[in-house]
Amino acid sequence: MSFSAENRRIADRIVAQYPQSESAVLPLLHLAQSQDGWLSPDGMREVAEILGLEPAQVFSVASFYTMYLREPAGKKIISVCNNISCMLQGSDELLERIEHRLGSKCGHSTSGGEVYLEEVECLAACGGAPCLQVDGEYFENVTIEAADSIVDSAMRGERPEGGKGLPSDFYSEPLGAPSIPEGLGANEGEGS
Amino acid sequence: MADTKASPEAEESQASPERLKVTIDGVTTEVEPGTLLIEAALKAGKYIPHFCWHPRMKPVAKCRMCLVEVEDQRGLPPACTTPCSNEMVVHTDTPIVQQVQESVLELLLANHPLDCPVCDRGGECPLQDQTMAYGPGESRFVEEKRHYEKPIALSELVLLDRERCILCDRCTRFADEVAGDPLIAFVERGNRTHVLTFPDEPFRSYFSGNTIEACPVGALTAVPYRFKARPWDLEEVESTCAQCAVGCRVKLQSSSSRVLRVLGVDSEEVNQGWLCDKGRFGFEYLHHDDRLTAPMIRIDGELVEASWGEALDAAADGIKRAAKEGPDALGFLGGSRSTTESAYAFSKLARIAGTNNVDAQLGDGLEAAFLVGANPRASIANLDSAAAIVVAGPDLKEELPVLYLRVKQAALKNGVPLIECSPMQTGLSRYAAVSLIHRAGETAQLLSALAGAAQREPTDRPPAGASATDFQRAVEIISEACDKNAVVIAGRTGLATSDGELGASATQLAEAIGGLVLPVAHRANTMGALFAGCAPDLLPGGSRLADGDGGSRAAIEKAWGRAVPSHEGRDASGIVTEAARGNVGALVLMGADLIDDFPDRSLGLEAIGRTGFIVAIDIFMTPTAAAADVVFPAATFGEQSGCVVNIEGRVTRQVAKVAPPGSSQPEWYLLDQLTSRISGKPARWTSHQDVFEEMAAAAPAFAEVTRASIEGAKGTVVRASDTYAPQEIEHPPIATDQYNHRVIAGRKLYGDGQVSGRCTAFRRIDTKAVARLNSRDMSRLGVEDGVAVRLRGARADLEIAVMTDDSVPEGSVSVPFNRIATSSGADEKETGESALHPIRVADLIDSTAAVNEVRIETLESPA
Ligand code: SF4
Ligand code: FES
Ligand code: FES
Repeated sequence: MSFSAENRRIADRIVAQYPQSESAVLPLLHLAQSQDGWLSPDGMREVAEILGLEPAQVFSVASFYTMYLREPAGKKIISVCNNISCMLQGSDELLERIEHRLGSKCGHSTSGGEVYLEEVECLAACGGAPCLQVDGEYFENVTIEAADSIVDSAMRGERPEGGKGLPSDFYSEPLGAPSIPEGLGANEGEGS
Repeated sequence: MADTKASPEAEESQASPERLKVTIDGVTTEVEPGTLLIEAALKAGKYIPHFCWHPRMKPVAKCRMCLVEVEDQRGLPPACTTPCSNEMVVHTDTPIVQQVQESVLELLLANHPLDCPVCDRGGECPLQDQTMAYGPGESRFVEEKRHYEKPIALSELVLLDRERCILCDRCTRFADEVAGDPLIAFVERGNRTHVLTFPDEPFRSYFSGNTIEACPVGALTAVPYRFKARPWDLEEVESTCAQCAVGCRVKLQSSSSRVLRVLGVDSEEVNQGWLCDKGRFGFEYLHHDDRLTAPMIRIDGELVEASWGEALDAAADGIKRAAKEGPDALGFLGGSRSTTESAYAFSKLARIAGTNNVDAQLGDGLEAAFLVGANPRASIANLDSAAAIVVAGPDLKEELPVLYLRVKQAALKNGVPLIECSPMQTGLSRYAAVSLIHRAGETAQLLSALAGAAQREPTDRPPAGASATDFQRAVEIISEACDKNAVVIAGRTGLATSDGELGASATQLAEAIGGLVLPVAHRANTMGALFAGCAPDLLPGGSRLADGDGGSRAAIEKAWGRAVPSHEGRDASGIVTEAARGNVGALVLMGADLIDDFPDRSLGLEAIGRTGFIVAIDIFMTPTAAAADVVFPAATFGEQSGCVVNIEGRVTRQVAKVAPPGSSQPEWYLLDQLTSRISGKPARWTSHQDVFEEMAAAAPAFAEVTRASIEGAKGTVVRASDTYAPQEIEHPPIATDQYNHRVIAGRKLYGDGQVSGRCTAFRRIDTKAVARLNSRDMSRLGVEDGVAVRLRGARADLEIAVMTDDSVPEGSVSVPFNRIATSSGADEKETGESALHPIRVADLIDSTAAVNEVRIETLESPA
């Protein structure tokens, strides 16, 4: 990949927000992911180059966060929480069921590229365990039956019913502007 | 290390406020503020078990093995990150500490494969040892262990077994913090944290081998050493590395008379424990089948094996015959790859044979008088606290890698401002406060201008095309550093430029700013050879020959029982130029290859072709040796004992560990035999110690250098009898020709020379030569990366692939001196086979010119 001219401008603005350019690694990785739909090795390489880092250093950061997808992902993303509350409430079975219904394993996309399934750490919705997200939208107290219908709509490319509303379309929308309020860019121009 | 200040009069613990009193397991010791508990314990003779802490890296407290109990403190702090405070009372082996150590080990082993019987580290593994000493003896884990592919290659040299890794962060910290090559990192942090490179970007750091030595388990192993030996089968000696003139201290380990491994020794003065990969892995050539094993003489045009007696007689006869024609009919080249003893024997043989035409440098160094007599001379350790460092020389990362580490450390860790004067960006550029990039071959002018500016001589425009802003910035830095021990590092910037006045102007700059000079030389023992008198104008001890009947000359003549010739000798370029004209009757070459290791290949070839009689003393049948009349097989590094002198003038010992192949002999031995045959006096030496003693007696400078004083890592620093004091410096104008690209010909760490080319470890590393050009020159020429172009030079044409590299300034072209230029692309297609032209960069170079320029022509594109 290579940043589009527009995204390159955004990248430069993000970098300028930080006294130390390395600090921009996370937002730049999001930017790279938003352009490609996943975080490709070339995307990481480009981020490294912009920040004067070695690709290995960027890889080290990127591979820590599950929200960076290092494989081409499906159009919809189902993220199933596997932490303790959800696990006690049956998230293992839930995940298994979803894998079965999708016909693809966790960490992979369906063969037609419709849905990508992942396991995630605590989604901070323990009260609604077991819970999952579809493209960032929360679904709580998910039963096996509910999971089936979520999977089916996702496979059809539809937004499933019963969600708590979309917080932001983080994975699929291109980043319009840096999420940092303009006013904070006081030291713009420094630090790269 | 006994602390001299910690006297038994313990009463006054409060009295010295800058020292802290710490009691560890009942032993009280005094330490500097800032000392870590783990260091204080070592000082008190108490070993605190640890894995992640390394004395040369920042502590990170990752492994938790070093937890200790501190009185009046809650919890068990890690000794590796806890600074001492006054009156601290520490316990390292209470039941609670022991219990924690057991738990830590049980956890570290939870996923460890326990495959010690097949692990290279077994027998010298800190994890194994500490488990025996502090472990629980049994594990409660019954779960399946984590599995990874075993082992994966991080590079051509380093393998990683992630199952064994305990995530101590030593290798990754080393790569980032010490080497500055963060090419390995922890990835997938969490339950599956492991060390890895970026996909398809191997751990190609020149210092990668240090991670293997630092790894406290067997996770990192060396390709060349894998499954070669068990530690208990190895014998070892401490020696000095023979790959470059830094002279790192090493441990040389062998089994069944084969060198199997080289490890670093932590010498504060020199290498602080680190080695470059060339020093660490570049020993396999020792046991290569191509080693010469018997003397050879030319009979009816063929080199055939001969007895030592026959070969010595033939060599002595040839030399004597030529000597009748006068001193200039003889030329002696070499010594910089030998021990100082052998170099001394070489210099003596030349003088006894009647000539001063002797040179250890092959037209690729600097003035000998400067190298030995630089004054005031800096030590490597001076760099740590210098007020500024000026580097005017080769790319240290490529040629003197461990010196590069020290300069980088000074700049990065100690904040020493670094000024780089180089014809192109180098490995150090990222750490430099200013890089004064300038036209190749005009470094001396630039140094003189800096010296002038430091003394407030206004310069309207900096010379050599350097940027005025950068120059101004450099002047500010050196003015600030005046009289505070700034260090000027000076060495040949490349082989396509003569750098004639570089030593003089570096000295001038050092004088102007009240600083020190650190001259750098290329081959490992160039300094030793010059100190032994292997230069036309030097006598053993580094005294000036021309100074006539001074004390040193008399001492030498007394020791030799002979007058030292008094004619003005020729240096390597002079000797080779005369030989190429057919004016030299006999050349004696000791580890000196005029065809593949001389900056001007056409001149070298001509000289070899037109010299009537050639003696080659070498370890391989080099192209030069193959053209010789007598060839002697020499013992080399690891096979002979003797001393070497590094860039600081530090004399240390190299120690023999294995036997040389066949009937190879140490060079001093055969040189003594030749001397005896030429002088008619009996041979004198039966061991290298005899040679050393004669040299010490003959050369006053070596009087202080006793055998005892050069034992050990620190060795002793020798100072030349005559210090270098340059005359008025004149910078002759550089005559440029019609060609438009100035050639920068530096050496790369891995070349394809006689030695590196025969180390299997390096064989898989790509050493193809490419010409590097600035992107603007590339687009002007309309060529792309990988395309072959023709470099048209005064001496020859060279077809070579080009590559964009903006570290090369516009108007220059950078070509690696020590690699074969493979012409690619067009040719391959035309001939239908991979066309490997053994054409070298040295073919291009006219060593008699101050600078070399080429015209770059594109080749007709294949239809
Ligand atoms: S590979 Fe060795 S040095 Fe590197 S983190 Fe693992 S145990 Fe430590
Ligand atoms: S454990 Fe699932 S949301 Fe917290
Ligand atoms: S040595 Fe202290 S935590 Fe590893």
